[in-house]
Amino acid sequence: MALLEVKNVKKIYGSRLGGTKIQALAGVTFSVEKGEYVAIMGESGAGKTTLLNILATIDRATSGQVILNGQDLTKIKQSELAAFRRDNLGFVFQDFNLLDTFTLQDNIFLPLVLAGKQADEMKKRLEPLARKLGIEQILQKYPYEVSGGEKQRAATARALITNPRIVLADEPTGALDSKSSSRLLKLFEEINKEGQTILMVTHSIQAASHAGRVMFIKDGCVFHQIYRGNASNEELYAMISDALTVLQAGGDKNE
Amino acid sequence: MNKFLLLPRLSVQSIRKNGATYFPYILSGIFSVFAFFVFSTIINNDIMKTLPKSSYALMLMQIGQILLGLILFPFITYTNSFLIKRRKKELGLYSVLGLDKKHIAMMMVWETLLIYVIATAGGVLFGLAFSKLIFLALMKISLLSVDTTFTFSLKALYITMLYFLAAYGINLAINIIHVFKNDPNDLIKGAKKGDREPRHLWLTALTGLLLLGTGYAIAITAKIDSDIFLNFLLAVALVVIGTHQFFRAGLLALLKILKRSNKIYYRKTNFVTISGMLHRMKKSASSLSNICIFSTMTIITLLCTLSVLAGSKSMLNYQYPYDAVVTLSRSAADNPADADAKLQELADSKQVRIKDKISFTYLLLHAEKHGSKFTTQSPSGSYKDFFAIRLVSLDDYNRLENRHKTLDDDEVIIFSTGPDFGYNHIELGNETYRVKEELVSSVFDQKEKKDVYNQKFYLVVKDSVVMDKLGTAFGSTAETDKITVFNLNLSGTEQNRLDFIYDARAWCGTLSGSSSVKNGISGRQETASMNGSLVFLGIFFSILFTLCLILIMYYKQITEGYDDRENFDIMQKVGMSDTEVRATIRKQILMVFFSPLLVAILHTMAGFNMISGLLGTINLYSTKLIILCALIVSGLFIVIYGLSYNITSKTYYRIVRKMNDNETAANA
Repeated sequence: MALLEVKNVKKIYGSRLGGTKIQALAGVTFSVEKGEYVAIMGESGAGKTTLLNILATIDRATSGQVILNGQDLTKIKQSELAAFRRDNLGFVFQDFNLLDTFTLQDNIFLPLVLAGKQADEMKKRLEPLARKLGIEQILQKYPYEVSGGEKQRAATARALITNPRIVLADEPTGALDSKSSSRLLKLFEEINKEGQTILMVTHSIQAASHAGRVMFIKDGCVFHQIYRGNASNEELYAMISDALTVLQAGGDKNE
Repeated sequence: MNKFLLLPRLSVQSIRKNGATYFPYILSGIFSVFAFFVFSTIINNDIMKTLPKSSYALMLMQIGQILLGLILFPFITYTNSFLIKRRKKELGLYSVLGLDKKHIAMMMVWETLLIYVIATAGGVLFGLAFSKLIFLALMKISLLSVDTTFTFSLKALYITMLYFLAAYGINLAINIIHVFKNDPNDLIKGAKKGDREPRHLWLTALTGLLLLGTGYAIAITAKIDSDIFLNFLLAVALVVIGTHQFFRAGLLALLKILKRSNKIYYRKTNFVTISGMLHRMKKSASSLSNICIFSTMTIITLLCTLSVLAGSKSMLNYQYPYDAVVTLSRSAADNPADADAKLQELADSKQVRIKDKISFTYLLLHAEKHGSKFTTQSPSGSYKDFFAIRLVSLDDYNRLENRHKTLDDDEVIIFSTGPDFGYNHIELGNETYRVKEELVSSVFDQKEKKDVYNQKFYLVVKDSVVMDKLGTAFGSTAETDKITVFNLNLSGTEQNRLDFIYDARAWCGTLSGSSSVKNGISGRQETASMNGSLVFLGIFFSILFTLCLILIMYYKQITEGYDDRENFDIMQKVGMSDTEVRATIRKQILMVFFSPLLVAILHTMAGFNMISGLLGTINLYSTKLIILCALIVSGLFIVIYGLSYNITSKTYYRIVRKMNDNETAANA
């Protein structure tokens, strides 16, 4: 069975007073196997963020099912959502979302503290992670004292420290320079190779070309998918680029 | 849209949109104007000047207005600083969108003008409606005769408008300077950095504790003597500085200790609270100490007010137990019986009946006291050791007290008006006398153990032989130091009783020796009017302090709410549930609110002895009464404090949550 199954998910936004209704997702269906690295691409307004928010349990689908490891996310009680998120999901955001009141170390510990873990265990978990992400030297610094790349690596550590079933990344390279971007993407690749499932939403072909599969969303539907197969990053880059061109052209025709 | 109307319209809009910050600001503005206007109206009222016995009241009200002016200005500036901080981002955005700084300044002028008009109009309106009532209340509390020809003067309105024009004008200037100094980018960003740790943390914490301890020690050991006011100021200064140091360094030190302990720090609710407080420790510390000092001020003001109100009667009776006290030296009246007859004659002519009369003759000794030994006053002696001894004959004592006591030549009966004498013998010059008895009460005078200031000793001696011997030893002369007193309580109309006192005074004026008539009737009225004005001011200022306090707390919390909501949003994303958010907020606010309250109550307890000492200087000695008042006031204050905690935490929670609602809406 797949780790994550998304079945015919629809999301319709309507103003509370009735009025016009906007369909953000028009029946999205796909599944993600354990250990996969999936990139979701699409233009602004295609429904990427809506989809990610539904997967993140921050938002709820109007209809359809989202099943993570056999559990239907749409059926979890509001009061249990936070704990579910903490235990099963790891987040990496475009704007890092680190707290300025905490050192990087405490930022990384935050989900564990919320889960009621002991300090010793937290430190044991952090050690190898910090080494891998190259942030051992800056753990005691505050977010406003380090660079964007370092912030994002700390945020990645925070996402990974709970050993989540799936990491959800929303434009993780969106606020980084190209050097920091490629370092982060390499890290993502390595983490994925160690068995971590990753789902990433991105605009960037460069970022998507590191993934194992690229999914294109348009007008609230899964429009197209590219599997890496044996292709190198460069070859995948070219394939994505072509697909986007087609997508764009097709989109124009529809209008 | 008409271009001319754009700026005023923007101003109105921004005030309406920032309701949570502007509403309390405008409300406090209205109250400030109201308070100031009422004071001005009362002071500038003609009757206030013509009313008999109102001089104390008028003077106190004038002092009150000056104090009010001094307090209201920084208060308005303080609340304004919160406002401008909140609005930085919005102003920056206007600037980015192409509004010149000039235009932003114009917009702020419009805003300030609008607030000024609303505040003064509202305050003056309320003032017009209520100042007569408040004036009547003042008259009533001060026991002054109520005159209903209370009028409003334009001068009061003028002063009020001018004062607040200045206050708001200066704030406007501060705001405009703020806008011009920062470029839009800075305005939008705002500060993210944490506060830097103060240097010499432990030293500061230690000196803070030391200052507090010294202040406390002074307050606890204070006695009612000539140094009490100096000691009071010293203790207040020490405690104020100590409180600041304590909150600045002590709190930080505490937080650091807590942070060091993994067990405590890495617990859900503590984690966020401790790091959040460390992050803005400077601001937190100064708000906490300000809240603490304001709380202490409010509690003490209320305590004194309530004590004076409740103890007024006993104060009057202690200070003026008799309607009239006539004192005549031997040179003025060599035969007391003649003087007595004369007083009776004067009373008859004014249709006044002498209800009670206590009259006796004493010989005054000026002595210097060291333990149980009294000597003549030496020029190098300390003022504090100088005491008056009044020698009374056993005959007078037995007559007045209706006793049949006996004394030997070397025996005395002693009565102290202040603290007990406490020895079983007394040395007077070169002779030692046995103290046969120390009286706890006497018809001669009142006793108040705490009154060191006015302490006198009455010595009952066997006869005039002993008396004269002692008089010679202490250099007293019969002519000036042999004194006859008539303590009189009168009945009759007030006017007649007063006339009698004036006549007695006139008669004394015709006598050759020294003499005096103490007017208890007018004296009581004057003290009552002073007490009443004190109570009035106390109530007024307590309300003002409480309001300032609530507003400071409110603004502190909502400012932090806006800072924190992003944090809480992030924490919710990484898995903090709504219940946990609530629990954390509750804990945070609880700490912010109740640590100053706790310290304030501690301050009050430490200062209690000194407060009762100060009240002693205006002749309020009942410790029981003051303790009762302290309990009532503390209880009342805790209730008010708790209510404002409730409101504030709700507002804070709403602010923190609103972001998340917006977030979901924004995703739509």
